[in-house]
Amino acid sequence: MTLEQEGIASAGWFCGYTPIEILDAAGMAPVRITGERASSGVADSLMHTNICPYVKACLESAAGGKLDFLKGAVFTNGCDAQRRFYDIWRSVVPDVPAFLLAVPRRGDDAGALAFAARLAEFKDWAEETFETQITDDKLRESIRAYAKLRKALAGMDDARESGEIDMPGSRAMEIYLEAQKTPPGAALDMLEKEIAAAKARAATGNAAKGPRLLLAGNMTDDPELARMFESYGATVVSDALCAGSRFSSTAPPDPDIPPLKALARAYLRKSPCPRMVDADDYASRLVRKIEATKPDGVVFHILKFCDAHLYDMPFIRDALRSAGVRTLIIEGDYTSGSGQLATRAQAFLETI
Amino acid sequence: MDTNLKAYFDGLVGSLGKKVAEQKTARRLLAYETGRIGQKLFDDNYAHAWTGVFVPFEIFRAMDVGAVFIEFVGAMLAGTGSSASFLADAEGFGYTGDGCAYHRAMIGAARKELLGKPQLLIGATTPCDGGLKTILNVARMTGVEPFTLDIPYPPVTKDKIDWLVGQYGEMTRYIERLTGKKYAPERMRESARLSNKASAIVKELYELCKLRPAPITSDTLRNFQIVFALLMGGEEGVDVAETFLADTRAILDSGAVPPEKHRLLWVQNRIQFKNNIITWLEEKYGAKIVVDELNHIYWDDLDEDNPLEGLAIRQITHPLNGPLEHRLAILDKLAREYSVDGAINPSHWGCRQNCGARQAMKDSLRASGVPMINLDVDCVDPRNYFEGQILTRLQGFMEML
Ligand code: SF4
Ligand code: SF4
Repeated sequence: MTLEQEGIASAGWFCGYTPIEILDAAGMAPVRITGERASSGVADSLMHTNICPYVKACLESAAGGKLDFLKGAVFTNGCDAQRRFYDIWRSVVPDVPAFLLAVPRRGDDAGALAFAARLAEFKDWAEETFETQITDDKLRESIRAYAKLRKALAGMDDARESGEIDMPGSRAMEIYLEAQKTPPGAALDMLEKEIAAAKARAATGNAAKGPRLLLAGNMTDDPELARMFESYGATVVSDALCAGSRFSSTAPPDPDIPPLKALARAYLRKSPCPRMVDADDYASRLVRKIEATKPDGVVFHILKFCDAHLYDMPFIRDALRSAGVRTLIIEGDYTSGSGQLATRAQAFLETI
Repeated sequence: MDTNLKAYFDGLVGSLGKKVAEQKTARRLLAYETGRIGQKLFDDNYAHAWTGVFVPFEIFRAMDVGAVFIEFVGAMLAGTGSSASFLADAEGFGYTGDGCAYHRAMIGAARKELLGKPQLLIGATTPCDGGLKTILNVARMTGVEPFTLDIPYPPVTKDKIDWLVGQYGEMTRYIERLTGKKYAPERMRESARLSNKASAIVKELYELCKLRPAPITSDTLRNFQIVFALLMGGEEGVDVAETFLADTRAILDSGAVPPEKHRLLWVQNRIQFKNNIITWLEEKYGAKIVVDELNHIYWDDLDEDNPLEGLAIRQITHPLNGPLEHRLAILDKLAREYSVDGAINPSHWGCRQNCGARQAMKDSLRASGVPMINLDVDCVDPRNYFEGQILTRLQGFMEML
């Protein structure tokens, strides 16, 4: 049953730099919105063909009335496409209040201070929109709940990488998505069951033994992509994705400072996407992750028209090459694969 | 154009300098001063900066930093008919062909070392993601340390102003550290004074363009303010502004005002390579572009005793910064004040912030009774430009007006 069917009040969010703890503390279930895979062309008429297909897919859902159940939606200026999505949302879904959270790019103390001021505005908006009071105690409670969930997800990733649990990457992607669409307590329960089952599977010794892959990219949220590689015998053992390990990379906010300040710091310092850092910084972090995980290859799946990622790709590609990592770069359109993609995937796997 | 850009600017300044001495016309003077800015990139008396497009050039002026924004390079290459090879080079290297060609041309130019090496690279988080990425990528290619201005969104609040003013302080220290140039408050005050003086004259000029018929042609103020920004804070800026105003007044006084049947608003940037659209519009339909969206002084005078605060407010309230509502309000205001019949948005391919906004801009202008057409061209890349198709679409649009 979905939250909508269960009658749980929900607020939508899109970008990983949204401190969803504030929504949770406002009594809303924070739901990460993923879009329609099939396009009816409505979104194209509202924006332009050359805008991020994830944003367009979400717009498609919104225009089709499928997000009317939300009590509010929070956008960020994570990219030009999302900023424009916020603008258009307000005419397409006027009954679902929207908030645009401006996230600084700088992660230092000055950036965190500026972000904390924006978070105070976000909190005011949430209180007014959801007609509630967000006390520091409530916020701290939500912060603790999400810190626990993120820790458990990161633990799952570690166990996948080490082989302690047998969990295909496609299943991990599904779990991550569910965790971002479910209140943190319920998400944690679900996660613990999944991990226990994966541990039991590992004990049978039947885990796949094919090439180990790291899946990197932006708002690549389709488990079918990992499943396709798995169907050719590979295992996706780790990821660097917005809706994947970047979600769990936020360190627990400092409990000894005011909660909004603590959230501001923690979010700005999580594992960055290319919006936050330059190509070298991003690539060197990725190389460090690769050294720790030792995959046999990296699959970069980048949604088209994502300037933050695509402007950096030649440099990231070169950095991975210099590090001796085999890399496949795919530009995706948020639909579930194609024959051509399958051929490229097979050809890539043959080289490793 | 080959790799000798210095010779290009020297040649341009030499030939235009002579012409300006013979007869000082506004466009000539602007081109001459623009060429001189290009020369500064190779002049040892200046520190050399490549920057984002809407950064406060007054500060650079006060510190003897010769600065150009990187999109200027793309526009210049397109204008001289040489962008294609730089674009192809960047694409060959793996740079996405779906991005903004202003940036792609810059990457090609940096790869071919067309502009030498800057001492400073100053980007900003606005107006688009690609602009900052390009600055950072050029930093990587040249080994030059970059500086990034993180621009808050409107509405203006005290904490946002303080944050941005603090960043300007960091920026001046970055310039001092990398170039040895010094930030002096009295020079900044002078820069602010000259900026205000130039702005006041430009405002007067824009007022004249609101007359019917407007005493300009469609190309008089082509790319004007975006380039003029480079001169803000200097005497040259005042001189250029005065010349434009004087030329325009002279046309008005002479009674030889170019006729017009239709008055048009041009959204964002012009098409930078040679094309016949403007002439065609003027000749076939008597249409005149009386205002460009970016030709607009939307800020108050800078307080000479506290200029950085005014610059911060100006940068925060730039129409392309932040959510769209502010930009829509400005477009609407321009459409009304200049009494336009229609608007043209080239809808530059690869410009996400514009392409994502185009339907909203169209709806908003239509609500004010002003139809807008999206042309779907790449303003810098002539390789896929099919003029016949564009004119056919424009024909339908003009006939509807
Ligand atoms: S995938 Fe890229 S363009 Fe799309 S929403 Fe994420 S950052 Fe923006
Ligand atoms: S045209 Fe658009 S993408 Fe290109 S530099 Fe200008 S604002 Fe940025």
